[in-house]
Amino acid sequence: MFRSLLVSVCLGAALPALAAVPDTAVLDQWIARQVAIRSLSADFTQTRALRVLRNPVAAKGKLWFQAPGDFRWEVGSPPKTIVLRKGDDIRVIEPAKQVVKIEAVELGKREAGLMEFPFVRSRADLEKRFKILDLRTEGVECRVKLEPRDTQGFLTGIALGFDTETGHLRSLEMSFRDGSSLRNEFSNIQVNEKLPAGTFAFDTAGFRVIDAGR
Amino acid sequence: MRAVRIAALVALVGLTALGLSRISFDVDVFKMLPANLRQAEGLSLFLKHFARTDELLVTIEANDAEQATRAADELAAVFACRPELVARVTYRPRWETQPEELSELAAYLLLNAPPEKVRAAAERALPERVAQTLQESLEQLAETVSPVEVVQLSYDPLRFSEALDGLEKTARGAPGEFASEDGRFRVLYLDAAPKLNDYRDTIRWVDEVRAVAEDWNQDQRVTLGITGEPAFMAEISRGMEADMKSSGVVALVIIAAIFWFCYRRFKPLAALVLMLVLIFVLSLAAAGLFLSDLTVMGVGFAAIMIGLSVDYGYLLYQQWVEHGGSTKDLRNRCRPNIFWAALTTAAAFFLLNASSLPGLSQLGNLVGFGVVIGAFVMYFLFAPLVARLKWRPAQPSALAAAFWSSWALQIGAWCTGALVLVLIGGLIAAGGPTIDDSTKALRPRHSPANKALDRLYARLSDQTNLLSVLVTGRDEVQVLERLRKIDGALRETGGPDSLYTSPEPIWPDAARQSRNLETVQPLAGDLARLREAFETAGFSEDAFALTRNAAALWSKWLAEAPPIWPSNPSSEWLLRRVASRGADGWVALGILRPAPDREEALAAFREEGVFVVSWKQLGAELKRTVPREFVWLVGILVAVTLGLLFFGFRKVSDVGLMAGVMALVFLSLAGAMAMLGMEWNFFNMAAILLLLGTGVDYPLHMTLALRGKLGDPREAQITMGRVIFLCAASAAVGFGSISWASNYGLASLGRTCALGLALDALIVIYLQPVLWRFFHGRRTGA
Repeated sequence: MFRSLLVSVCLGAALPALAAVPDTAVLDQWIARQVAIRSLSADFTQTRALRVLRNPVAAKGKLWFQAPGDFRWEVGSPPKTIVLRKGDDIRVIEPAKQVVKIEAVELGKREAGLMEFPFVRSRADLEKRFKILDLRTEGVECRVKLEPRDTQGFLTGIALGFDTETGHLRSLEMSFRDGSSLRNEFSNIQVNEKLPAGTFAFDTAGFRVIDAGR
Repeated sequence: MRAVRIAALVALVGLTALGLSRISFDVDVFKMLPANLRQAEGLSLFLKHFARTDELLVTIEANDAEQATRAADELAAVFACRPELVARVTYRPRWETQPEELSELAAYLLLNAPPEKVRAAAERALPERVAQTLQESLEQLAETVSPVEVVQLSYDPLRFSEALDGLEKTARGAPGEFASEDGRFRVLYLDAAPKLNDYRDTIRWVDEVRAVAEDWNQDQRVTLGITGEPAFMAEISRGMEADMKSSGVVALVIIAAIFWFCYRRFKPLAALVLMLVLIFVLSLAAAGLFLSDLTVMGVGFAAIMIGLSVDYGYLLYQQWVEHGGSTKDLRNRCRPNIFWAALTTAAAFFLLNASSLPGLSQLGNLVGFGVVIGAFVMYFLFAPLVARLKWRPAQPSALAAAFWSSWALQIGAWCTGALVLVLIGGLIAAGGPTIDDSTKALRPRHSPANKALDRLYARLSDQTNLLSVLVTGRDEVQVLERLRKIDGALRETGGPDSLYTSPEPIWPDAARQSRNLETVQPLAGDLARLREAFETAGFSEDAFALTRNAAALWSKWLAEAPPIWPSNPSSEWLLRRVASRGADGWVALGILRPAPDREEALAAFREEGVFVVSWKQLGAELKRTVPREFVWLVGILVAVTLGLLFFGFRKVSDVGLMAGVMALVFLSLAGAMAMLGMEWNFFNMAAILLLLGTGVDYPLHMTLALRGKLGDPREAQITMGRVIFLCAASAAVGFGSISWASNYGLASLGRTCALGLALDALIVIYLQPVLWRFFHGRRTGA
């Protein structure tokens, strides 16, 4: 699930480059522009559809990213879950429970390299891991459908939509093998603006630490 | 009298047939190791309880994950079409295809959880709290970033799994079973369809599985490996059978060729070969009657025994050629030689019983029996044949004549002297051969199954420094008590960075199960209310399945007496890796990865019924115990041999010369080994004992000859030299033929003994007469 957050960040940050280019050339532009992304912040609504639920459930949150590898993803207000990444150090913090869980970054890197930034370094790199099933523009929105080439993984598809004028990501939806899906809708996207000091820190003094790697 | 003889012969034939019918092989390497070693005991227990003799592992390695997965699917389908060969193919977690089976494991684990946590979980399902609990779960499902949590909350929205403390760590420490992380390496587990009654059935089954797999992989699209207990059994037992047959036959053929080279007469050769076959059959029958299954060490006995027993035949024939006479004359002339040689040789081999290595003891007993039987057969059957049928040898060939000429003996003496000096110099320079303290000596020399297993470990789980923790007990309660007792101590001894995956969280706790069953009993009778609460909260029937199934199981288990074990195939698959029940009680298995400097401290961990073991630590334990034991054994054998020689010869100078010759032999052997890069291991150390026992025969024969022909030591050297040459060549061939044995330890023993006997013969034939002349000449001169 965590990998999906980074996909959102990476795709969202890069998508301005896709604006006004209706064919797959937008992908090449987007990939070429990724390295220019230094920082990003956005609000999101996360909607999860599961076989075990009669209706999808949703939660609101906010994310921040700063090159080369700092990341913060928090859900709820006040935040109930915060994911902090600094380089290879990933922590999942639950302030209400006063618990901090140290995640093994390798676990996330294993599948399709989705935790890497830039998300892809070239068109060839993207196509090595995904098949582009569809790319179409309707009005100001461009929709892209990707399918992982690893047919054995849990992820079975990615659908993203972005504004062709602003380049902002509007939505990102991931489909999974068990029939569930996770959709994120983004708003208030700020690119390459200075982020407040301490954005990627959280005081966990007194919290119970669970090291998932051990 | 005639009737008695016929009756004795019939009895002998009957006993022989019975003995031969009882011969069987034991491929368990631990049968070759001391039973009192903690590591050997623990590892033996591990193999007995956790290595399945009817499960074969087929490994697939491909260039990419997709190809490996496709190959696994295809090959599994191929085996699924062979129900007469494979009862079940498992190549992905069963719960992937049968997720409903996990309900049983979940229900069981909850029953085993701390009662206060189960009570807290049950309270969340009470009528006044269930709506709030489900609403919280919905919110968590919306917010969580953890895929594990999504799955847990999806199928357990009442959050019973929160009671399963410590289980996550147990799951995390478990090695992968079906695929490597990169997906390029896959494993298929095949259950045997036919019943595998003995090693022959196992060989047949493994061969058929291999043929099916290789037929499917004709185009070499992937790399296949076959391993697992049946593969090892098939490999080792096939090797043992071949070793025994081939080494015995090879030894027999070469010995016959040596005899032909020396005497060039077919009839005595045929008679000698017949005697050797008879000795072999009688010895094998004795082994079948008196000993348990043959180990991989024991199978080497045939070649060694043939190589040693033929000595008595050579001696008898050569003595008859030299002196002629009746059977009685021949027996009288050879009796001391045969008696003392058989006595010292058999003593040396029987002394191997004092070793704590059962494999060596068995080899010693087999060869000891064989040598004694050989002496009797040659003395009572071959001697009259030789004396009555008067088979004269052909005139020696020019080559043979030149071989024993004066100048050849002189050149031989100089060359042997130079060789001894070079070898002793080499020994001083190289510092002696090193000791290989690994457990390599226990393994087959060429083992595709071992290679496949190494690859499997390398790709699926890092076994470096990994220790197995085996906790035994007469029942589940005692095992659990011990698991809890050692937990803290093991973690502390393992160091702060150690990782101990204990089976304790999933081991049945009868007391907890009773209390938890009481706690969850009301829920089992309240399913309609709970289903309605799920529906109202927005959960589907899928989300309720686990709760429903678990409640049904709890109701069922209420009628059973704890401790309760789960029993469906998915639970069985998981639990068989950590729990086993046998006639000797229960065994639980944990895995411990200690801090690098704590491995030995853990191996020395002592607690009743607990074994912390690894192959590496077994090697260390053998290194601590076996060499020390051999020093004692060698000391005893030296004392016994010297005592026997003093008793027989009653002359200090003769015994001193023989001891000196043997000292030269051992120094030269050590030098040769050091120069050839040969190492001592736990099995070829026995070569010291065997060389003392068999090698002392040659100086003994030579001394007797020199004593008998004081007037002409050169004639004694030629006469006895021929016999010793034949004996040594035959014995070296006997030992040498097991140099290619499938077992590394047996092969190294064969090589070391063959080399030692060759050096022994050279020194005795060429140097001992020179030394004899030197000492007796000086004494005469003085």
